[in-house]
Amino acid sequence: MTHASFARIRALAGKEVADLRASKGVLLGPLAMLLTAVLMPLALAVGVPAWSGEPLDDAADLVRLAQQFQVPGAAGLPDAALVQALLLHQFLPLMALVPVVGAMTLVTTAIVGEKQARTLEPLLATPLTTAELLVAKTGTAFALALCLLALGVVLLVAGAAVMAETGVAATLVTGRVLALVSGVAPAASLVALTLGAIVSTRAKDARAAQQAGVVVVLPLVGGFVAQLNGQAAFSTGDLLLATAALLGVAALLGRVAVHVFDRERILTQWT
Amino acid sequence: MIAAAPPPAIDVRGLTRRFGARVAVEDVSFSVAAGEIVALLGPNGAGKTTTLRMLAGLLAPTSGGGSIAGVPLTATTDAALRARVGLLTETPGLWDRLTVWTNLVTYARLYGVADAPARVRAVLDRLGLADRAGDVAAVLSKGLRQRVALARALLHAPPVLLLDEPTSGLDPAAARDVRRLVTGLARDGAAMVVCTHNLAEAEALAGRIGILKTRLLAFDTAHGLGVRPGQVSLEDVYLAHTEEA
Repeated sequence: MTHASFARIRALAGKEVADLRASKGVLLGPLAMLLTAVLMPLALAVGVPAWSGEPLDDAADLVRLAQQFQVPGAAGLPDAALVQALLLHQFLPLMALVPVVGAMTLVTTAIVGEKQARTLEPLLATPLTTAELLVAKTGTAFALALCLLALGVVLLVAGAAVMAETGVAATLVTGRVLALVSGVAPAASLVALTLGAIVSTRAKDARAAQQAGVVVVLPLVGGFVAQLNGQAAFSTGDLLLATAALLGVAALLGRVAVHVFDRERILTQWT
Repeated sequence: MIAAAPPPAIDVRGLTRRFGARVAVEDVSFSVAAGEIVALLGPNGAGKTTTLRMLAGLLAPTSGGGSIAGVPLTATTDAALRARVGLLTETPGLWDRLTVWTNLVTYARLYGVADAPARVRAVLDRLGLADRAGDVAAVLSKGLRQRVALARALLHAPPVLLLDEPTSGLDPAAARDVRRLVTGLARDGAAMVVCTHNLAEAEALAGRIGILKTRLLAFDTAHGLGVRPGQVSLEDVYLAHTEEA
């Protein structure tokens, strides 16, 4: 990439951030997902037992399940802490949805927004290449989605450190969790981005384009439900494999995205 | 010794563009000198915008070519051409949620202007927009939006300007302001092609006029086209050509 190319990508990325700051409502959906991924597990693991007055270590079934599940880094913890760690880990796949929802929302808004406002022609009249346009739009959405994910992880770990039993927060910074939040979640976010970019070429409004996100969200929710039911327990290796598979899909979709973002097609069919 | 005439800023030969089986523009040839304004007239769907897009490096010609501001126009023309041309699109296409300043600074950077803020200030001053720099684009009147779009096309000081319907939908005063700007830019040496449906405007602005209906039916000065004040109007000439074709 040349210096001029980088400067153009940076200029358009700066515009995307400025546009987002001027329309903060776009972030409501991703922020709602983030709060759900942070507050729901903390409420179940800490809030509900405190409000109901029934300590977690009194629930024999949960204690037995927690011992069977073998939460990484939780060996030797007392029963109440073990159950809290189990509950927090069971809900972690929700965290992987944060950058998926964030990326899908931001990229579809960015692309469909340009279509609706008829701002693409002057943009394409600059020396900006189609690849630079795509990199700027998806790159900004990806960076912001990762920021949301990082914020969610920090809030969850901090919440566990402050509210949960001693030692529970430490189980959230093990290899398995890192594989989820730094592997699966960003890779799923990339799939959502490329898919969002492709769908945006056909969609008339951003919400319609965002419906396609269900293709990425459903497998993640399926994994989450399977884990809650005890039908699946994903190891670090499973998560790394899933990351590689998702990156492969993202690369494939990326090639399709570059194809459908043909400059002449944009001018003659979009504007 | 007589000095050689400078090469035309725009010189195209046999420019043709097809979309599948449909021929949008066929065998169009003309040239425009630096400081000259050429008006392209034609009914809706005549290929005016397609021609401008080819000249701007946005659409590749199916065949034919030439040179624009010294850059070859070919089927593989790329960013080098777009960097030498200023295009005023039919709709202003401003980012409505952003200020005039942010709109223009972003474009200046996309065009690779060295000191973007300084250049934007200079262009805003020239177009009388300095006091509107902090306004969000969405609140601007149609005339002001068109002026900001024109400012955007001038940011990289292009030697060639292509204007698609520059006064369409503007009130008379705003249209007059835009026409004054256009003639001022030509005096500064910019070669310009203006697409318009406004025949009076074409006659007032342009040194030469082209009548396009897929093919270039005529291309000359108003007098050369047969316009005679009080006897034969440009409308008469235009209708005679387009209805005949």
